[in-house]
Order: sequence, then structure tokens, then C-alpha cells
Amino acid sequence: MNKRNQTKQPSQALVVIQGMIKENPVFVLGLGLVPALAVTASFEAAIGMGLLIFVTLILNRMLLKLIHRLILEDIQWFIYIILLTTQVVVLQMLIEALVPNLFLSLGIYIALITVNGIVFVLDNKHIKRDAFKKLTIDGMKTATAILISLMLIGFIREFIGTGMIVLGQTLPIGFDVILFENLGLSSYALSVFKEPVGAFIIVGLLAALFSAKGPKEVSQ
Amino acid sequence: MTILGILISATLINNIVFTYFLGLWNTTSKEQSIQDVMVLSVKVLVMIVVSNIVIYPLNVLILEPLNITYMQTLIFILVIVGLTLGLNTLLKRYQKKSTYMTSFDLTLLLSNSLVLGVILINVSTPQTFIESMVFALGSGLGFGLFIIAHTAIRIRLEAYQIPKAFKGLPITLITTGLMALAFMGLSGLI
Repeated sequence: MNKRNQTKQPSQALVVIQGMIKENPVFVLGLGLVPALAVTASFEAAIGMGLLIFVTLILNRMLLKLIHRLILEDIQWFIYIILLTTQVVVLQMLIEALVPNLFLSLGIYIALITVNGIVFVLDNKHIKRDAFKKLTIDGMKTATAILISLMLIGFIREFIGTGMIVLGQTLPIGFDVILFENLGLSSYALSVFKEPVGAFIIVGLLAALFSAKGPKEVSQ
Repeated sequence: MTILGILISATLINNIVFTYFLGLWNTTSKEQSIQDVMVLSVKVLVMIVVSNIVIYPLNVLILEPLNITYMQTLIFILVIVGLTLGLNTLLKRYQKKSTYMTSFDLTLLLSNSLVLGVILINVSTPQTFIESMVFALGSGLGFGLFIIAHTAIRIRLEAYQIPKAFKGLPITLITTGLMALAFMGLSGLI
């Protein structure tokens, strides 16, 4: 009788995926909307921005955890801002040197990770309470959710807007390829989805989809 | 482009929200009345203009001649934080009792990305001091125009039965998209 009443616990991976849907930083919480709308006209640029945010977020959390005890509580917010800004400046210089096409594609939005990243800075109590490993893993989950969200928006916008996906122009992946070119969909493409209008509409519809899918619990 | 052309372009044609996607966070945050957003837009306008007054000479006279433009983002953030704190102190000292003007919310202004975004656009475009100030003014006005119109639409939408999945952020974004479509119609103005 006890075995019949026992509920099956969902797997860890399923819980993580559920969290990425229910508490998606872009579509549900509304964080990081500027990169989600501005740089996702191209799938490659979206991947590039997602990776930059991924690296910034995880490094930032790790650094905050390492140094938070060294800083007076009154000026912690200021030091956190300086830390994040310095990270972004260094990242910007690296991207400019190593991936100039991505730098030109993203433009001012790399520097704007600073002011979007500020909303990613944790409360002091989280930094004090959570262990280094937990903080980093939580950061990785959030950053992965943002990366996947940006990739999804970028894919949909470029596919509907041009009828194909171009790879190799912005990111140094070693080869150039144009996906779905042979399907001949470019004559049916809706170029409005590459414009700001399309960005807002696509992200709004995806946010509605995530909101609709979000509240349901994992079935047994 | 003439000064008036820059102003109209920054306010209407290349509105900072619809062209550069800056200043969106406020639309998804807590619900505000029209009066609250009017005060917010004035705060943001003052912040943008004052930041540009300080940063333009700093960039042109110090950063560019010394070839340290890689420090721009850090220095601009420091200036914005300093100005916000300074204006906050000034406001607390001189304001009369008012339900509207409370303080410059640092988190709000920084998370906004609008102030830093306008400054970065200004420094990346070669222009005179007057042109950069007019662009900053136009951006602030354009943001104010957007957020007041958006709040008015949001208040009217509350009377309608929006599907559950669209409540909150989704309908906000779709509304903003339709506003962007309307503003696209102004593209041939000048």
C-alpha cells in the first residue's frame, strides 16, 4: 500500500529544465531584454551574445563569492558594479581583438551587458549564504537558460526574416554554411521580423508560450 | 543634419526605444500611473542630459587625446553613479514635501541601460557638443513619449480580458511592437 502511495520524484535534469521554462530569465522574468531584442536579428550574433553573457555571469558570481568578505557592506554594491564593468571592458577588448566580426555585429551592446548584468547581481544574503559550488552551478543554469533563449529568438527571427540561417560570417567556426537555402523559402521571408517590430512580436509570443507552459508541474 | 532634424530623428524617427531597444526594463516592472511615469521620464531626461554635459568634454578632452578610449565604459559608469548620487543628495536637500519627486533610484537608472546607451551612441558618432546634447535631449523626450503612451495603453488594457498566457510581459512586448510599427510610419518625416 505504501508503494502505491509513493510518488515518483522527477529526475534532476527534468527539474532543471522545468526551472529554465518556469523561471526563464528572458521570457518569464524579463531580464536581459535588451540583448534579446537588439542582437537577435542574426542567429550567430545571438549565439555570440549568449556566450558573452554566459561567461560574464559565471565569472562575476565566482568573483563576488571570492571577494565579498573583503569588502565593507556599505560599499559592496559599488564594488560589485566596478567589478562587473571591468569584466565587461576586458571581455570587450578580447572580443575586439579575437573576433572582430562579432565585435562589429554586437556594437554597443557588449558594453551594455554591464547595465543588464546589474540585475543579475545577487543579493548579499545569497552570496553569503550559498556555497561557491552552488552559486556557480546556479549561475550556469541561469546563463544556459539565457543562451538557449537568445539562440531560440535568433533562429526564429533569422529563419522567418530571411528564409535561411547563415553560419560562419560572424563567429569563427572555421566554415561558412547557409542552412535551409535549398528549401527556397527566401521568397516567402517576412523581412519585418528582422526589424524591431518583429523582435518585440517574436519575443512577446515566446514569452506567452513560456508563461502558458510554465506553471504546470512535472507529471508523475 | 540640422539641429531640429537631429531632435526629431532622436524623438520620433529613430526613437531610442524602438531603434536601439533601450529603456525597456521600466515597462516590465511594477505597475505605475501616468503621473509616476511622467516623473520617471523627467528624471531620466535630466539624468541623460546632465550625464552628457559631463561626459562629452571628458571624452573629447581627456580620453581621446590620451588614447584611453578602452576605459570609456568604466569611466562612464562611474560618472553616472556619481551624478545619480549627487543629484539624489541635491534633491533631498532642496525638494519640498511632494508625493512625486522622491529620489533618483540608482538601480532603476542603471538597470535601465538608457543613460549609458545614449552616452555610448553619442561617443561613437562624431558630432559637436550641441549635436550630442540635442541627441541626448531627443532620446530623453523619445523615451518619455514611449513610456507615457505605453502606460496609457496598459491602463486601458486592464479593462479587457487578456488571455492568461499573455498577461504581464507578453502583452507588454506585443504592445511595444505595435507601437514600433506605428513609429515606422514616421520614417519619411525628414
